[in-house]
Amino acid sequence: MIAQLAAIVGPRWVKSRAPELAAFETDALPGYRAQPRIAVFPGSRDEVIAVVRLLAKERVAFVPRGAGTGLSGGALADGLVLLGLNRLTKIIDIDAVNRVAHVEPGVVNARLSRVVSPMGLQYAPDPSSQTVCTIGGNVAENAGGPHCLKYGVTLNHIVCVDVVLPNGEVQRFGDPYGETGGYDLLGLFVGSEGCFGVATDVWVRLVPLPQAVRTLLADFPSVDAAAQAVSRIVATGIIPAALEMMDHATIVAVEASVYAAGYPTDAAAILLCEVDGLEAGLEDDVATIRHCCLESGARDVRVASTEVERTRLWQGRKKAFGAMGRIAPALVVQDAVVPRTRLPEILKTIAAIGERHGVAVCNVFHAGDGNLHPNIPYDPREPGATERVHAAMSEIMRACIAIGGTITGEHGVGLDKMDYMPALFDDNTLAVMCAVRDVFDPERRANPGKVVPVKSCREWHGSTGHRA
Amino acid sequence: MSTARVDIVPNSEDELVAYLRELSATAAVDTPRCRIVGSGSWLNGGAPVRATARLHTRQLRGVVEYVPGDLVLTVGAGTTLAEIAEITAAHDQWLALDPFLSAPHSEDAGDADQPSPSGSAIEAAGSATIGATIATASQGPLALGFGRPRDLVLGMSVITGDGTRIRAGGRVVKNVAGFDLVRLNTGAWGSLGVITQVSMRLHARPAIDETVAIDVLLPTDSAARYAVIERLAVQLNSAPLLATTSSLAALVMLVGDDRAQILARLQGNAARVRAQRAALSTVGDLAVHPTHVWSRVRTTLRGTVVVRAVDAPSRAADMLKNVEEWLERVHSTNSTVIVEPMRGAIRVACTPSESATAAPTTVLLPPRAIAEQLPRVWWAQCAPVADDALSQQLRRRCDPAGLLNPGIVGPAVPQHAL
Repeated sequence: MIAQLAAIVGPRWVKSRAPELAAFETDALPGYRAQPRIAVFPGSRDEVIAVVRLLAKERVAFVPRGAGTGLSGGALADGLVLLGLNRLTKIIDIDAVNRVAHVEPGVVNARLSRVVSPMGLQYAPDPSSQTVCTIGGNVAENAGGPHCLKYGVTLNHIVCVDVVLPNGEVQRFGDPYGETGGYDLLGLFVGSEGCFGVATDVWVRLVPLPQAVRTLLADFPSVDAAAQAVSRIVATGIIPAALEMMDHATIVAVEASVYAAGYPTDAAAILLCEVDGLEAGLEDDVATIRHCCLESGARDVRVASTEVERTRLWQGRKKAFGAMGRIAPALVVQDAVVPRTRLPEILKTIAAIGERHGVAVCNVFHAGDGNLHPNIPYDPREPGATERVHAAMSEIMRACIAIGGTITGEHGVGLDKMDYMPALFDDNTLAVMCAVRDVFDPERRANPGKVVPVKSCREWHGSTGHRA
Repeated sequence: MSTARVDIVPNSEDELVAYLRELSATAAVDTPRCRIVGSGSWLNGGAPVRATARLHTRQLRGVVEYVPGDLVLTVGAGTTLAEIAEITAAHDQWLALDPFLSAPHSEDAGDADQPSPSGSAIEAAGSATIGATIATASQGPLALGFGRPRDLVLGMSVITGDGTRIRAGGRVVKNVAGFDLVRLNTGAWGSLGVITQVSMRLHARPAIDETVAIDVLLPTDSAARYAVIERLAVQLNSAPLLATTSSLAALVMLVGDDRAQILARLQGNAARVRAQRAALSTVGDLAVHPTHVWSRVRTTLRGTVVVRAVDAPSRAADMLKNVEEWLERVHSTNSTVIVEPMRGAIRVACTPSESATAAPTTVLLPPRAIAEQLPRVWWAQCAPVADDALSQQLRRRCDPAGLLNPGIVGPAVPQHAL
């Protein structure tokens, strides 16, 4: 196998020795570690296709991977072939007039926005890892980000993909400039977490850069007051570009780090709210939002007056996970979504659960769409800590499901959230998901053992298993 | 084809599950195949369905859950858009989805299931059910500002052809848990399952919702005519107008013989709407229209043929030229053409001459066209929808006995199966 792969991509791009493979043991979610058997890095679309065809011929299971910044353990290839796509970094075409870009899957998210910005355009989805994560990975996970509140998630911005199916066949889903009359296979593929095949080419929609941006920082004496402000803002009809909340524990972690953004360290919670679009009317939106915050009990609302200040406010938010990583050797990151009106209630529940288990929960999240990120920094060397953290997190996730929420808003299920799938979906629905997967990958060789528990599939359709 | 008719009107999801389960378990040559019917306004849409039973969703209606603060509404599939508008307006919210309708016509009516043509256009626009709107992924001018149905639907209940009830997606605005059965069923024309319930993302009503029109004279000379359209499309899509035009809720161009009318929907606070108006006034003189003009736009596409096409916005003039040349070839009368220059979309409704209708070999559709409604004999000339191997396998997995809307996607139903 190694020799055959090397014949396709060149010996330099096939890794099989343990020290070389160590870099691919994890993604960005600590707590999961698994080494691939082989890692292969094709350098072109044709090489990707050839590799997938070889794997199909040999019936070998594989896991596609971009930058490995995922937060669900989804890109781990335990004893399997890891198919790295980060050498495919070409921006093939930018059609600025029609606002579509054709890129290879390994193109880094932020690079695309940077390249199109002189044309007055941007690629809107902005996961916090955007400076390193790839468009292909974003497609696989249906990635989100702070500005998805207004602009939509990855799904809403992908217009076409060329895909190598696990059996080596190449298919196009969607159309760069139009629509196809059939089933929305593009919509089905985006967010399929590498289980339906490998995207070799991606066409994305670009949107005009806003004329103007205003960023507000509101400081609250309680989490509840901040959550009330979120509801008030959403009800006004103004759709902020982003509406982010950070609680006291997160603020303290950020302010103690190199990413210190000047957040008030005595606040119980802050809201970072951004409005953008036409310059006209933006000040009125700012005034309305300020009013909503003050009415909800904000101590102070300040508007970033310079681009430097604005960038600094955002840096604190985007690097919050990193800042938390600083205060403890390990960090559990979660990604639940709840109906927005339940935010005050769930935040109280989360605090109570944390207290009961003796763990510190830091909340930093996309409040505008109810997408929570409860995070628990901890020291795994402390006896019983890991167990307590996982017990608390499991309880938090189930509390979110119980009030009508979901287990992932943007990180994907991967390995980490698979156990919650049966709590969220009934057996029938999981079985249909398995059936759909089997249409794309009847041998279950593409990212096996992720997303839907195998048990759900066996019960209904019998297992075909896989080998590596 | 049998003319025997059965009307199935399930009162609950459970009844529908039981019915389909039994039907699919006993499926034989003479088992009824089901045409799924909401309000009946789409019965001429899509390829002809050959069914002996009509499966009505009208009893599966009403609000299941509505928490206005969440801006999410869950309703039964048989709930009409008018009902949704009324429910949400009470909380100063709305569902920003205004599908173009396949308006009823008298000739060549598929299953001869004619919805009543009585009532005003506005009533017709509201009578469509949310289930059918999602099943057909029908969209309208608001897609510019708010996205297509796939961007607004958050979750749904579906009963697959074998009577399996699935609950896809959820009732939260952001959700990537599991494979996306919501997108799979949106626009699948009910061929994978019957949508029984949907959760939709709502929007708060803007402070101001204003519609303006710009009249543009079109030269009679063909080359000059398309040059004008091209210039307009370029102007609307380029700096300095783009920042404004892309923030509009809707923008369409109704194209006539000697004039075109641009209709734009401006929303937001007073200052923003003022700025939108100022930007558009660089294109031409503005006249304010009542908002309900959009109901007319949505129902104006009447004819025996309705097709749409989407291409790059920069090719708007070419698309129009293609469509108009095609209209001439089919000797159409009463054609209506709507161009959406920001989205690169064009829609046309027309009634071709009898000779063109009878001689389908001469009437290839315009490039990139997707047929919504055609005379029956024309459908046979069209490439089938979703007949690729993956799609057909998905269909077989979800509806193994081929009970639901047979003929509308995939290869034509063989005669022996009817």
